[in-house]
Amino acid sequence: MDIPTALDVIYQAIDSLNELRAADDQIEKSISVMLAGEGGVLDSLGLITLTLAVERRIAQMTGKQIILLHESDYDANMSHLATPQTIAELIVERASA
Amino acid sequence: MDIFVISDFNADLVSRHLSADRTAPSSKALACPYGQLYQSLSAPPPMGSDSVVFVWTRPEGAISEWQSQLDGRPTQMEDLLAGVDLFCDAVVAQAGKCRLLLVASWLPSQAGRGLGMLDWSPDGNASRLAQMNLRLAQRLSQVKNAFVLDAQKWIDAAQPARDSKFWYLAKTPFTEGVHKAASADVKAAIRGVTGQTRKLIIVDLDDTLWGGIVGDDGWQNLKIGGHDPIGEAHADFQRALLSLNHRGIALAVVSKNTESTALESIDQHPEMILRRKNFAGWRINWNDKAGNIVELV
Repeated sequence: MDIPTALDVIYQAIDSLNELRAADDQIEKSISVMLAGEGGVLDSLGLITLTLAVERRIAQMTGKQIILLHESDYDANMSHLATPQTIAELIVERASA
Repeated sequence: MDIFVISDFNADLVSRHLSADRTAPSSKALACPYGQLYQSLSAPPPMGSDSVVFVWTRPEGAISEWQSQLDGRPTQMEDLLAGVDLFCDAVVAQAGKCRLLLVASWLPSQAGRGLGMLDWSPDGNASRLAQMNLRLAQRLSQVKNAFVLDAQKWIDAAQPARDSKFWYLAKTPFTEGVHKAASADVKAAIRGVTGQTRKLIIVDLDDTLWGGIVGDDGWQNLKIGGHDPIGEAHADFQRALLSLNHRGIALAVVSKNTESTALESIDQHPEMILRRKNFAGWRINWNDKAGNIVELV
């Protein structure tokens, strides 16, 4: 799993999330858009939906179950889930562990 | 159109889909607070009596006796149906407070293999849930503004349909694809009730109603039915159109062809399912198709 592939998976999940949002409230698909944490565009349900969709897709592609969202370290996780770039880095790290 | 979603689980995803869905009618949806199923059913919808109410529950969230069944405790079918009747009483009362009420049929509580051959035994989960759904449908069939939607189709539309992590993190038993399919069905139901359904289907002929080009191949060589994958697909397509026609949707033909040749195919081909009598009208000529459609309509 490399960063561009991980970003593709994240952008697919963002496409699904955009179906839940008004036309004038679409999430931009760029590596630096703030998703979670302060100034993030996702609420908790949006963030859960995104991370679980990504986890499922990664499992389909690699056969490996990775966990991006740990309830136990939710706050600490926020920095890893802040943008598509940081999520992609987290995916690569966990997929190679 | 205002839509109030009443559920025993977190139904924010379906309400967000309903609000964001750009198909007609445009709508604004709101989900009831989590854990407020019966309280929400007993109160008037917050957006007023002209709103649509969509009730989507898990059987174990709506019928307390069903949880006993799931737990393997001795449970009587009569008690389960009494629970369904109580639920229906609340739903029927809610129907009197809104314009249209849609209720999702109940789905099996767990994914996976269940108890295998025991599921359809008289006491099994599958046979009992089927009886509960039947009672729900029978009760609501007596209410003119209430309809049951088949939730199984929503499960079929999403892969995977369930994710246990979704439940434990967000109290949502189904993945986003299921919510999207549910939203589409709710919107379609609203269109049906408000007279916004499609009333006319206009089709072409060559490689649409049949495989092949009638002007080049002759009607005897067109692919319809028979032992041929293309022919069978076209026959099934015609059968689907005929089914819609029987439900009151008009059919028409607009095609660039010689009219006498095309009509001969419709009349003479032994495998044709649609015949001339099934078409409300046609424009079969060499004119511009868009102009033909305008003229026909």
